[in-house]
Amino acid sequence: MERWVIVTLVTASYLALSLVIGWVSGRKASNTVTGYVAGDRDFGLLVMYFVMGAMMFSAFAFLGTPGWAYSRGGAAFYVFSYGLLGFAPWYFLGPWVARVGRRFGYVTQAELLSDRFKSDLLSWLIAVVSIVAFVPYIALQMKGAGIVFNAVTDGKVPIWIGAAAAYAVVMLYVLKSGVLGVGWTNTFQGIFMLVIAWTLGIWLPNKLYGGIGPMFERLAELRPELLTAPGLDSSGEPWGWGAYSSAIIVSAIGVTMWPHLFMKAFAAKNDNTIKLTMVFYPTFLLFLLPLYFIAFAGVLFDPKPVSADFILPHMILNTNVAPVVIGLFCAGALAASMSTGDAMLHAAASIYVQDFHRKLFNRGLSDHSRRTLIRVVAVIVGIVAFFIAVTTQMSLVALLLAAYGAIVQLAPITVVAFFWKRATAAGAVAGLVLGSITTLLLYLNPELRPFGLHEGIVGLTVNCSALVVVSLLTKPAAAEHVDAFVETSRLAD
Amino acid sequence: MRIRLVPTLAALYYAAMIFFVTYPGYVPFDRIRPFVLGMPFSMFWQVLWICGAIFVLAGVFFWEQRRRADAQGSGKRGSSSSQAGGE
Repeated sequence: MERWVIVTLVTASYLALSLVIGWVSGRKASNTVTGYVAGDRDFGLLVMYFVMGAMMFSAFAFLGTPGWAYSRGGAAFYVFSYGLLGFAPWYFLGPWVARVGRRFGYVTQAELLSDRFKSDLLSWLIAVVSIVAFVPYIALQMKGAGIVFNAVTDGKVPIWIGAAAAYAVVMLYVLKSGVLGVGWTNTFQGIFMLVIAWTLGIWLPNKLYGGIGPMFERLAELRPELLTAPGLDSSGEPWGWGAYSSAIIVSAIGVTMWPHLFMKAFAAKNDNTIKLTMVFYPTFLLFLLPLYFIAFAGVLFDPKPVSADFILPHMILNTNVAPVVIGLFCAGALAASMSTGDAMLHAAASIYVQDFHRKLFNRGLSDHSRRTLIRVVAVIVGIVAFFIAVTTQMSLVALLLAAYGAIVQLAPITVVAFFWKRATAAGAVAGLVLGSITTLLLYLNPELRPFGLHEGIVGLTVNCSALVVVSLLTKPAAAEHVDAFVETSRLAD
Repeated sequence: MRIRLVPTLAALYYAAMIFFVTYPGYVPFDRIRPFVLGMPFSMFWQVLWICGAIFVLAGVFFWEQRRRADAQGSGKRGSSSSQAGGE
């Protein structure tokens, strides 16, 4: 049998298994919005760990970060740091979010914030920002899946068919099972990609250099500039410490604020589930190590890949690996893409209905209609993202960065929601809007940045100042409501 | 507000981490040699902070569990229980 046929068969088996797991897992959920969006608040430790871990390990982590290690060396170490710093606050934030969610019935981040500040405007703003950030992100995941499929089948499976096959499976289990489908498939996909990555990550350096140590010895002789931070920039020149350091801080804040993290916190069974997930979460970061090993193994390897992002599939394809293993690698890459894409697809649709549609057009929508609408929107979001994935080129990275910049700006509002009772709706809206505009302006006009600081940090400064000043100038919110919110967050189970 | 030792230490760990994985705290440790576990020291340094975080968060978790058990077991003994977890 030809290599690409075996690879396709192995990958197809993986997709079939994902579909079965995703389809079956939804049977236990109640027929409510809480059941569909927050899994009836009943996620245990195993599922929670893999949902959180696999969700963050996207196609970008599987292809992009090894691409960085390969071409920019130590610059890629920043991912370890921001991953760790971004999740740490969730040890405390997670249980607070989950408690107010149980008490007041929230299933999304925007519901929590807009109810705390009693502002529909805030709800719309957060919904728009989240969806604008999600759609290009989903598109990138789809494209990643298609590219890997295409590469490992020697171009026999076109990019659009690979992306369509993987995301048809995602769509089916998200529609059928909601967040439970996401949870159980992520568990399967997470275990799958961990095993694949560690096996290949240790085996490849052994085969090519006789071990990880000898590999780095060779690199230390020939390319020492790749082995220390801050590594190189995208053009191969030494990268600056300022850019390296501020990228860590801004990325960490951004990760903490991802709307789908909030949604998964609402799905947790109890406080200890979230806390233990956060205790074990750093183990998931170590999963980057084998991927980096493969990438570093590629530095002294000929032939070179067409682009740095291809380093992983390139290494697998050019080192005489058995076709079955190539198939498993492809499935692992699809797992990384799908386990992020499914959570985002589900989150985007839920946020649109809960925080935008319901508040703007039809307040009295029944639970049943909302569940139906979430499914319809999920299909629309999937189709739009697919269209973007197969048609556009680089421009969507810019859109993604702009929306991600705005998500970072949710941080001050979230903090004051739990800590500063005097913060008002007007203050929150002013902070969010001014902070986002500042970030966007500085992103588009880098020469205006004071001291070369990251645009997100300047945006956050403006955001915090506006939040405090406007809050103090406006009338405080009803004390009873704010007290109930803050006190509930601090109550133990 | 009473200062709680273990969570404060955990917060200090992360504050220290921010310093030691960015400029300038990372600089002395951002070196190729000595190799540890086959990795350049700069890479091992990152792994070290990740592994440390697991122990720190586990410490906070067990401290909280013990504190809650103490509070339930013997009524009000808040001050002594905050010492119980201090390693």
